[in-house]
Amino acid sequence: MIKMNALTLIYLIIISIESASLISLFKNQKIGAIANIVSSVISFMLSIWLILLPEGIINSWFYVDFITKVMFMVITTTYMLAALHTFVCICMIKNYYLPPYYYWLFLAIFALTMILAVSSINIGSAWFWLELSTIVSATLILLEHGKNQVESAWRYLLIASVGLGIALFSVILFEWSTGSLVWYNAVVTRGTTLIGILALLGFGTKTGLFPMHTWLPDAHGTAPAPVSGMLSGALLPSALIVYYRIYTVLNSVTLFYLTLTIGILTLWVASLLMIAQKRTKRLLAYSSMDVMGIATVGIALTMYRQNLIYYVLIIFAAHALGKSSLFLATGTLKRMGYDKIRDIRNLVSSSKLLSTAILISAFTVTGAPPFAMFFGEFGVLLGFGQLYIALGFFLTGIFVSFLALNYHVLHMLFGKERGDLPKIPLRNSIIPFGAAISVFILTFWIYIWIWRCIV
Amino acid sequence: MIIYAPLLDFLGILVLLYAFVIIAENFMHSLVRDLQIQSIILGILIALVGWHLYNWSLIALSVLTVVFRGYVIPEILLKDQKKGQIWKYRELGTMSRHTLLVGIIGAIAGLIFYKVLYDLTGAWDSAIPFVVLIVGLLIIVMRKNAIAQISGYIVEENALLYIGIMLAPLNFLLEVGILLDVIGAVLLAVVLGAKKEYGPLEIEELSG
Repeated sequence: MIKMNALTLIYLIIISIESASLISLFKNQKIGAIANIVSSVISFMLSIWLILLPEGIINSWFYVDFITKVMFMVITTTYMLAALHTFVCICMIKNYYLPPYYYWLFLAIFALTMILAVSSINIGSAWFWLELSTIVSATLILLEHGKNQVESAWRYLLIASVGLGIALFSVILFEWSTGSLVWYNAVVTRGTTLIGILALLGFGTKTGLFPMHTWLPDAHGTAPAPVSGMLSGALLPSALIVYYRIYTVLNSVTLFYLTLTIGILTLWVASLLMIAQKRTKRLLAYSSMDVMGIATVGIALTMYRQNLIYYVLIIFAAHALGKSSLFLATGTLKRMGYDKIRDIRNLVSSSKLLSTAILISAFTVTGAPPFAMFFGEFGVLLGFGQLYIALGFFLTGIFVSFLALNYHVLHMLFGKERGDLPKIPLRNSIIPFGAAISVFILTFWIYIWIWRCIV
Repeated sequence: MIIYAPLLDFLGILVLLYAFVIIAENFMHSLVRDLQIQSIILGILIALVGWHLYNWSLIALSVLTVVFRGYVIPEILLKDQKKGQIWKYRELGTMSRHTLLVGIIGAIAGLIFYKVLYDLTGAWDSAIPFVVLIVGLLIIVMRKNAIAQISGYIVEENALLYIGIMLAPLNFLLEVGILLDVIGAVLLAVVLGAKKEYGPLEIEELSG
């Protein structure tokens, strides 16, 4: 077997994705598609290899620990699913706003910016890559013709940039306080709370945390389904991990309570908004927001129990897989003209494959046992200790979000009050179904693997 | 820095005053001109600091500020206005007296909030850019017209670079400036592209 160290694997992942973006410059859709699919599969396999290596990396560019390795897997998995599904999705786009080859070019760059953001040892660089990911993903939202697309890309760019502007302020203060932008082993002596509040607001905007979440449903709702999957499954957790790095360095009690409160509020606001949703993709966008609320609560609690970060990683991994599958499935329905939840009834009679994919994925992302998300949420729940009031709000929030998403999904699958949907072609269902099965297998693989690590 | 201090303060106050002019201006042509002047003043300020510190990346940043935000973006917008299609006249949806009043209240609140930062740093150097940042955010929030919102974004960008220079001249400030300008360019491209297809971009609530 070829022996490689972790640094070589990381360079290979970066080179693989970068090559796909360069090849996409040939302006040929087929070449771009093949390059992205090959690159995404290679980078996915390399990230599995990386996670199996016990060693980490700390140098002037990268900080790669177990957290970074799991994030690599999350990002490359969503990238691979997006690249594979685009075969179906892109054929159905009739009216392009931007040249089609832009899609493949920016899809690869989007994955690359997230890889670089989560592995950077320097918070200035992490900020830079996250800001760049905003430009790239906004361009991907603009791929298709439509006023809604333009408005949501505009809103996303503006709100995310304002949020990241606030984050830049926290980065400047961080440098002023520590004399360096390297977060590893940094000692913040001055302005801890202020830096933390600005970082929470700034990076929280990119994560979709309340009250800076307003861009999220528009962007997720109007982007092509594979891009929505990547935005939700990979981008939101990437921004949250950057915040986690700063949070661990600051070690402030005020920040702990603030992060906990914002997490619970995000969970509640998203859960309540999910009940009233009329469109499938906006429903899923709010579901992503509620999962990020749960993960934020987990991150807050790591102040007292550092091992809780592993449960947060389980949440990220399960959510990335489940939500990608859900976005791919609902994206297929949207392309067929079924965007509103009330128009989708008795889906199970139209496509068993698509229904199974949606059911497995919905149970995964809402934390139904025995799926991995349940294990992650249960771990976070154990971290509350004696914070009984917060625990009460957290538990009821999770319960409301579970009911809200599954109520809509079960109505879509088994509701009889409207006429049946037309038969869904096999080629439209096969990829979401394949993704859901992968979700199922991979979720349990992660479950066992991380459980072994913790024990 | 001592030799230049009064000059830097004077330029800083000009940047702040232009932020107030921008928040109250609802004639689009004048708004773009005000933005242009603010960016050029900031460019001169950055150049002075760069010259004093012998920091070539700051001098490069000042050139970038003057060229991109002081010339390229405003000229593209003005050229578009000359075609007489959109934004030639005033933005009717915004009451300038109200926005100016809210801007002043926001600035005073910002100054009070800056006390927290002053307690940490012991310096008033970043007070002006901090207030400019608040005014920039208010412009984005209070204006509906896309051009006015871009102006708010650029005021915010100017304020962030200004804060960076006053508080801790970062090694990567030039890269930050380039990236923020790229975002400005993308925003501009979206607005002008959307205008050709759908007319002026006024942000409305998207259908849920």
